[in-house]
Amino acid sequence: MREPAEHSISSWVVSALRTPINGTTAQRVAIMERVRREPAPRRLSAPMRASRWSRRGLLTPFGGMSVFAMLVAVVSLRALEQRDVRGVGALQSSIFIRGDTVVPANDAGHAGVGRRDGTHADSIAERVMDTLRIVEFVLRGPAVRSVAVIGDFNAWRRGATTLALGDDGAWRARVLVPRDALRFAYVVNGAQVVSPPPPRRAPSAHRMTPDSI
Amino acid sequence: MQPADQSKEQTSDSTIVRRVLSGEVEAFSLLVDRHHARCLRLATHLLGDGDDAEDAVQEAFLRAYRHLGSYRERDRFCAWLLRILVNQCRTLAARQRRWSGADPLVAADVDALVGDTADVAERAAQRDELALALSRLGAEQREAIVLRFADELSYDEMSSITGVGVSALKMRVQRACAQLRALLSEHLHA
Repeated sequence: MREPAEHSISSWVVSALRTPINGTTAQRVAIMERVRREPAPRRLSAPMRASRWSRRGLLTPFGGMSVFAMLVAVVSLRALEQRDVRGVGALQSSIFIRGDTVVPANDAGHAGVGRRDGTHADSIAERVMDTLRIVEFVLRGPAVRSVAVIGDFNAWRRGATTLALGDDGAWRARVLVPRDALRFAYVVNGAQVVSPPPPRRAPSAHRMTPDSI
Repeated sequence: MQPADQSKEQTSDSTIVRRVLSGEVEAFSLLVDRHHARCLRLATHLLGDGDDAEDAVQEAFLRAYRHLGSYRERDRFCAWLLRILVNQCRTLAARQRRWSGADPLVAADVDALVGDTADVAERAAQRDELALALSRLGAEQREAIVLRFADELSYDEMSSITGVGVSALKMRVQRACAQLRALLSEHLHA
């Protein structure tokens, strides 16, 4: 293609610029002598630098914006959940001890009875019994959509013990709780862990003091 | 650029690079023989000094060898080498501040190397004029005009080598041509 006039120079200038300058053999030998003193080059297999991702099209501007938008969405959802729980208002929890029950101490899990493999206990150690309390958790509060209780008795697993909404508007659940499993907390609306103060034994009957959270 | 009539049976640069990387160091001399003259001409025009040009070319080949592992075959080896060389020339020129110091020996070196006996005096005078005019150009304009006309590179290739956009390079070439014409005219009529 022909150069525009403003992009061209005299032919003798071009000719002068293109005149070959052949180096000498000594120059090339000198280069190879220095090359031989260098350590052998190795093909690089290092992971590609992040700064090159965009240059190679792996992280396009749109891709970068998408990743950033996803991060913002996750953070915003988290903040909304927290705000949602804060907006629940005052919660009232009650804990009732409905009685005691006895199960084998070495049984896998307190809620079950008997051995899992179906065999009978054949040693004194296996016949040791444990006393569990039947505890009823009750929680009341506005704008509550779901409640779960977590504690030592269910290894603090969310969703292991959920409270059901009763006709009276209270959320209830009955669980077997070992005597020494005194620590527990509520998970309200799937986000906030609400820790009530340690339960106190009620002066009468089997009722524990309602705690206002 | 590679000569258009390069024989097909000639070992490709990529093949030689693979051989070097597999431990055959002497194969690198094929690359040196193949590209040395072109690199030397480019460096001579960019630096305006034969000795500096030789140093720059030697250093560029050495750097290319050291970093041969990072060379990717999707790039042409020569373009990759020229990129190293141009950077080396920039560094050397900035360090020694010789962009503006044209060496009158350059023209004599060229004549001696070419060995042309016809119109030697006239051509030597023209090269003196050209060397002087090039030395008065700015570094960027000089680089642009040398790559464009001495090395016959396309603007895309120039952009790949210099890291400057095509539009900016076109503008530099246009201004450099205008300035070079003015400088040469001024000298020829002086």
